[in-house]
Formats: sequence, structure tokens, C-alpha cells
Amino acid sequence: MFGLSRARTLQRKLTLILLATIGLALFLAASALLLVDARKEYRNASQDLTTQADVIGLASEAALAFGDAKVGEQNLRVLQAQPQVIAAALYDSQGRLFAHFLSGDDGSAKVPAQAPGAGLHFGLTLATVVRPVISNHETIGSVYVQSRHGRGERGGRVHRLAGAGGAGQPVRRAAAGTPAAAGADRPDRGGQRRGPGRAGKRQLRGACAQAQRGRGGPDGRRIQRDARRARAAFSPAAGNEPCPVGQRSALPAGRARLQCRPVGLGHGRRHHVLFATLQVAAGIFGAGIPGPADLAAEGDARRRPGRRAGGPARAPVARRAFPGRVPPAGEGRSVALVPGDRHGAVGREGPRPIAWPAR
Amino acid sequence: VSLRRTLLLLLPLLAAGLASASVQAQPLGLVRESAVKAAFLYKFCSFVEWPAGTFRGPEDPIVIGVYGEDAVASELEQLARGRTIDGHPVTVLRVRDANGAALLHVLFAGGPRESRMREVLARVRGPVLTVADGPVDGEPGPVLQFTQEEGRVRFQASLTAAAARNLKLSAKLLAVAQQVEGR
Repeated sequence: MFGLSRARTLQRKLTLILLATIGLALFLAASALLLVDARKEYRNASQDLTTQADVIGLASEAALAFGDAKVGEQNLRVLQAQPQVIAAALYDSQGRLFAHFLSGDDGSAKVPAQAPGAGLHFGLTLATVVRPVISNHETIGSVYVQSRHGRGERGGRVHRLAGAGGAGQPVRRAAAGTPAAAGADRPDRGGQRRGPGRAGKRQLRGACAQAQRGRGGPDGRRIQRDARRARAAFSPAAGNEPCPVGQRSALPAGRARLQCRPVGLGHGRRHHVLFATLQVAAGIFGAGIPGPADLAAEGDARRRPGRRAGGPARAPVARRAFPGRVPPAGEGRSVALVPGDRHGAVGREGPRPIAWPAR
Repeated sequence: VSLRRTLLLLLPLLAAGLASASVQAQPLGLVRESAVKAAFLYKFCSFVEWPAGTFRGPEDPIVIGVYGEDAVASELEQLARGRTIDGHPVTVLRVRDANGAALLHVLFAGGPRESRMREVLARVRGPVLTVADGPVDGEPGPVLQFTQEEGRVRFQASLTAAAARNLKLSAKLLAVAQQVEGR
């Protein structure tokens, strides 16, 4: 076994035994970690899914009780804020389909015509949950929610969230609390967006340095290319007319809309620009896209007197990263980058986006 | 000739069948509507909050009075038999006149005579969920009123009337109301 019988010297035999033991220990440890991770993933996913179904069921109690399918569908549409949800349905007390919702980005999504049995079913990539809707201690229907799950899906979720803006954007932003890269972003607390954590900043600095050195393979080249484009977009020679953020029409309609706020690491304006660009290019952070209201609020905060007497008034969120994300390939992009001063603060005239033309 | 004779024999049978079907369809539709209204009346109780002290305990029944719609009363009696709403048993009363509308928690007023319906609704005092079978003019209006939309039974809600009667309507109920007055 493992060539132990062929080993002639005792030293060789001991080495082989040691290697085998370490290998086995590593294998067992890796398996245990995998198992723990899978269990955690399962528990989180099942809790999320069950909670979503229960919330929908609670909201749809009256819709089912009074047979109002329209309100039922409205309630289900709330789930579009959760991109991992691909299908959902409400069934009446007889198990007949009452209202349904199918995610727009997956044409293959279907809901069963009859209510499946209550419970949680996990597949390799999909999970479904069926929960009863109870009113006055009686089951008046059931909720069915089908969702993707898994680690890979989390990354995908961030990119799907980077789609074109619209009425659902605030909801999507609110729902995008999951970190884009593991440990890169600090989690939301109480719905308030927070900037990148230490790990995220380290990752970003690494990406900057990589791009500046011109290394890093395809990613580094892509970052360099995007950085060049962003610098060109910020250049007065580019002919991009700055416009108030509030004017959404300033960016081409139907395009992905990313608005990035310079982060302010204290390296000067150019670095801010590059930093923001890299955020977009690398898609490192994915916790949310600020809307005009966010930026306007920051403008107001900037105009308020600062805490330090005599010093320049600084926005309380000056060091907060407003992350951008890379829209799906082929969609084109229009990036609104907000130039700031060396502290990342927006000037008195308020935030001004600069449109980055589509590729 | 034989085919013509057969057709002549079958035609009266077919006509008789169609006539009986139409005769049966009419009451079936009425039964359906009264059943839906009865179910709605029963469900309304789950989405209304009466002021504290209305019920002395969980054994106190929710009394639903029905005026002018015996079909609805019958359906409601069947529906509520042996069931409870938040622990309260449900009692159905057939209200014959305005004087019989005391000690009710819910009053449904319907029937062909709108003036009588209005009178009954106007005589009710206190925290009573008043439900009218159709639009009713005058003050105080009913808290809820049934309407028809594309052949379906729906209802409108009046927050003003609910507040006047010290009742709280659940947001869930308002979400499915066709129209909410006083929002």
C-alpha cells in the first residue's frame, strides 16, 4: 500500500506513513469543512426561502380570502427584488393556481398547475418551498417559491442586479445586501449602505497596483483599458457635457446606469477617478448603486456646516464607497462618474455625472 | 323520411332540455352570488378590529345580522356552523326590522327596498361593521359595500364610516378593496 512494501529504508517508510497520514487528515478536514459549509448554505437558503414564502403568504391572506388574483400577483411581484427567485405562485384552498410570478431573466421558469405538497425541496441548483397560507387557523391556500441557491449564484446575483435602472431600482438596491465578493464588502446594517471593508480596500488597492504595473493577465489588461476609457471620459477634450444627476435623461435610456461616487482614499483627484473606474471595471463591489436622491442628499450634506470649525465641511459619507458593477456583456454601458475633491467630497455645485459612452 | 322523423322527435326534447337548463342556471347564479357574499361577510370579521371591551371573553360570539337577504343568511349559517373567528363562535341572526339590529357586531343589509335598507343601516349605533349590498346614499354610510365588477363580487370600504364606528379595518382588507374612501 502506497509503495510501503517497496520502500527499503525505515526513513522512507516513515516518510510515506507521514505523508499518508497528513494527506488523510487534510482530506478529512477538507471534507468536514465542505460539509459544514454545505450545511450552512442549506440552512441559510432554506431560512431565506421559507421567510420569503411566509411573508408573501401573510401579505396574500386577504387576496386569497377574497379571491383577488390581481392583488395576489402584486404581492408576488415583490419577489422580483430577489433575483435568485425565478418563480412563485399562490394556490387556493383546492390547490388550484391562483396567481403566479415568473422571473423575467429566466424564460424557462414554470410553476406547477396544482399546488405541490408543503415542504422544502432542494436540488443541485434550485430550491423550492411550499408553505401554507393560514387565516384564522384555517389553511386558505399555499405559496410556492422557486429559487436558485449556491455560492455561484451569489456572484451571479450581483451581476444581474446591475441591469438597467427603473422603477424597481430602489427595491433592487435594498435587496442587494449580499456581498459581491466574499468578505470584500461590509454588510448592510438596518438598510444603510456601507462602504468597502478592509478586505475590499485591500483587494481594490491590489487591482490598482496590478493595473498600474501593467500586469495581471486578462483582468489587468481589462482594468487598464477601462481606466484609460474613464480617464478619457473625464478629460475636457472628451466633450462629455456634465449634467445634474437629477436629470436621468442625461444618460441614454435603456442602458445600464452606474453611478459611482469617488471613494476618497486621500490620494488626489486622479486617483479618485481611477479608483472609481476600477470599481466599475473590476466590479469588485456590489452592494448597491446610488441613485440621484442619494447623491443629492450627499450634496446637501456637503453644504451643511462641518463639525470642525474653520475647516471645509465634509460630507459624512465622504469615505463611503458607492460601488458600481459591470453590466452584462453586450449591453453597452453608460457610466456616470462623479468627480470629487481629494477627500472624495462633492463640490458646492452638487454632484455631476459624466456619461461614459457605450462601447 | 326516417331521419326527418327522428329529428322531429328529438327537437322538442332538445328544446325542453335547454329550457330546463336555463331555468336551473338562474337560481344557480343567485346561489353562487349569495354564497360568495356570505363567504365575504364571514371573512370580513377576520380583518376588522372591534374596540376593546366589545367582547367580554373568547366565548362571546360574533353576531352577524342579515337583513333582507335570506339566501345570504342561509349560506352564512352553513358556513359559520362549528367555526370560530379568533376563538369567537359565530352566530347568524335574521334581522326583520330596524329594531332587531341591536347587539350586532356585523350587519349586512340587502334586499330590493333600498329605503328600508338605508333605514336599518342608519338605526344601528356603536361599533357595528355595516355592510350594504350595493351603493347607499346618505350619512352615515356603510363601512363596507358590495359591488359588482365584471360579474365578480367585490367591495368598497369607507375609512370615515369605520372611524365613526370606532372600528379598525386591516390594511390587508383595504388592499383588496375595490375602492377605499377616506384614505
